[in-house]
Amino acid sequence: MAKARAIYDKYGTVIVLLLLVIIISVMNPKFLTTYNILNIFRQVSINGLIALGMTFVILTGGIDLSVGAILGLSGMVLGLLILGGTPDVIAIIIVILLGAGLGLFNGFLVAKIKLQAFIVTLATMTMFQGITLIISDGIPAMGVTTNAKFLDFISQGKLLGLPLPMIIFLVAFIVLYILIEKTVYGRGVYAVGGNEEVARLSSISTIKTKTLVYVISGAMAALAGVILTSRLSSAQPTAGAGYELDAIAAVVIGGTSLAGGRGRIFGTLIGVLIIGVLNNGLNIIGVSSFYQQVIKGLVILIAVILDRKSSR
Amino acid sequence: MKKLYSLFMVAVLMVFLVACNSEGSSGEGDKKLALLMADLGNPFFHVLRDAVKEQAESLGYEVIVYDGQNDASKQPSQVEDALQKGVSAIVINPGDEDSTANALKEAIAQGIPVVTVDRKVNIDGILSYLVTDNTKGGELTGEWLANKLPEGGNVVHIEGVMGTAPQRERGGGFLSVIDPAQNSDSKFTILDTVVGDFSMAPAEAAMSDLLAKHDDIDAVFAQNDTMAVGVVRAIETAGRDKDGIIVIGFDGAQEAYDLIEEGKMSVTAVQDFKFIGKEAVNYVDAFLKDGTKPEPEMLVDVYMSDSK
Repeated sequence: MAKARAIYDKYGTVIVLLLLVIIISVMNPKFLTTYNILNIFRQVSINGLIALGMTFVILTGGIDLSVGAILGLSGMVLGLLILGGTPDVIAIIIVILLGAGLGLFNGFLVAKIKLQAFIVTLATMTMFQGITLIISDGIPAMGVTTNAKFLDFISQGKLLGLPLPMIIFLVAFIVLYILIEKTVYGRGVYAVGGNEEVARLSSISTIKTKTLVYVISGAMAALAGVILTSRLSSAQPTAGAGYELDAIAAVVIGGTSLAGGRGRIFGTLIGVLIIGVLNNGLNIIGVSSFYQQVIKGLVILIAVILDRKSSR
Repeated sequence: MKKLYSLFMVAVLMVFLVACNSEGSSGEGDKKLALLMADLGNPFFHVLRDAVKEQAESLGYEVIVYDGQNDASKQPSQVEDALQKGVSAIVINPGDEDSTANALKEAIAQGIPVVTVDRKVNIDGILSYLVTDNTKGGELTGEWLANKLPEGGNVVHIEGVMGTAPQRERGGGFLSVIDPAQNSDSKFTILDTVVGDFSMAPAEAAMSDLLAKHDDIDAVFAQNDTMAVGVVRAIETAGRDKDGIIVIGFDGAQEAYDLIEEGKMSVTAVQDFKFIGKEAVNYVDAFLKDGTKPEPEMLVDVYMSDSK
């Protein structure tokens, strides 16, 4: 009994995920086909990458509302570069650096100038959206992957039988997992989020630590933008709008506290999968869209309540 | 230090404002026409903007274009700004049916002709309201499919933003022909209905899900072309492009024509924005010249375009 409790305490959200999978596959066995499982992973990779970066930001007690706008801008720059004749591999490297640069701008304002993260990233969100509209003139970049073999391969190709977006997401997860769990920098992120004053006194560079989480967040959003552009073979001027909310939801479902200092990146992975399984599963069962919204909200609440119970 | 940064930001802002202002407006003349667009982020509306500009400039108007950036709360102050500039006519594509009502009342009180395009504004005194007949467009789309597949088939319906007029009307018109529950002569089955919010990414994701669920889809009706492009991409990604799934869009956007050209999409219901934009300008121009009043509401038909 005590053992069961211990397991429940540790893996509350995992239980929610498993229950969802069981319920949906009983209602429609097509849910558990190999094709559909890979389909889910392909779809969650975009929200997944953003949520991984967002986890770092939230652990420091910050928030990054500009990730959707960074995704949109990166995707558009990628599309325009490629249509302008830049080789796709180089264009991809440029936009990931661009995402990191935009993140650096956020981090500089939050960490160095000490402005509220919420307001800074809200302001940069509108700015980045505006820049996307300016450079594209509001017109989508179409047929981006037609002559870009590598970019096309990113969403259409498979490696070891797995879709590439899934592999990119899982590799990013492993890299960021090691960074946050096993390095001095990762401990610094938790320390800054837990108590900035104490962190400073124990000679952690709080400015560097905080700036870097926004850089990671920006780079991840740009990488997500690369995958989305590849998936749609086009860059939409309003792509990414609202994506920040799904990412924040995944992080919070995964048990990371919005107050900072407490949480696990593994939880974010589960949170991302819960949202992805819900989105896909409700379509597979054939639930009408009005009910879908209510059910999604309910499941998020249930996951958060269970998590509160387990972290006590 | 903070002061320095804020000074720097102000400098950047100044440069930006000056740069933006130099774009200015086109055409010369004492007659000004204000065109207020709900959202120029949607490229399809550029056709409308260009049609209005072209016709108005050919009639000797200077055209001032405002972009509401998909935020209906921006439009009232844009109307006020246009009145300040002393425009003689207003063509507006409102973001919603109420936000601009008070601002436009002021324009009407000054005797300025106002024509709304693609969406109503709930006030009296509007010169005319021009809109695509979405219900009839939906019906035409359904009839096109019924002719294409006389034996019927399995249909997937991808809806736009729930609760908007185009979603209700296009969907309603289509279903009135195709849904056996509404039309006893229909041989079709509606397999599934999902929401794509009139944009590409959600439509692509929803279609991917449905491809996992069904292996017998004959036709997909997407309520706009942007979603249809997402549907086509999902079919390609799933490796089902050999299934011969019929994909139907709505709007007449360039990307749809391109896909029809490549044989990946079947047809789109074209909204005649060129005609609507030109007609709107003719209405205000005729009114200013001799007080001619057009019909208060003008429903414009779509036409199906499936030519390769």
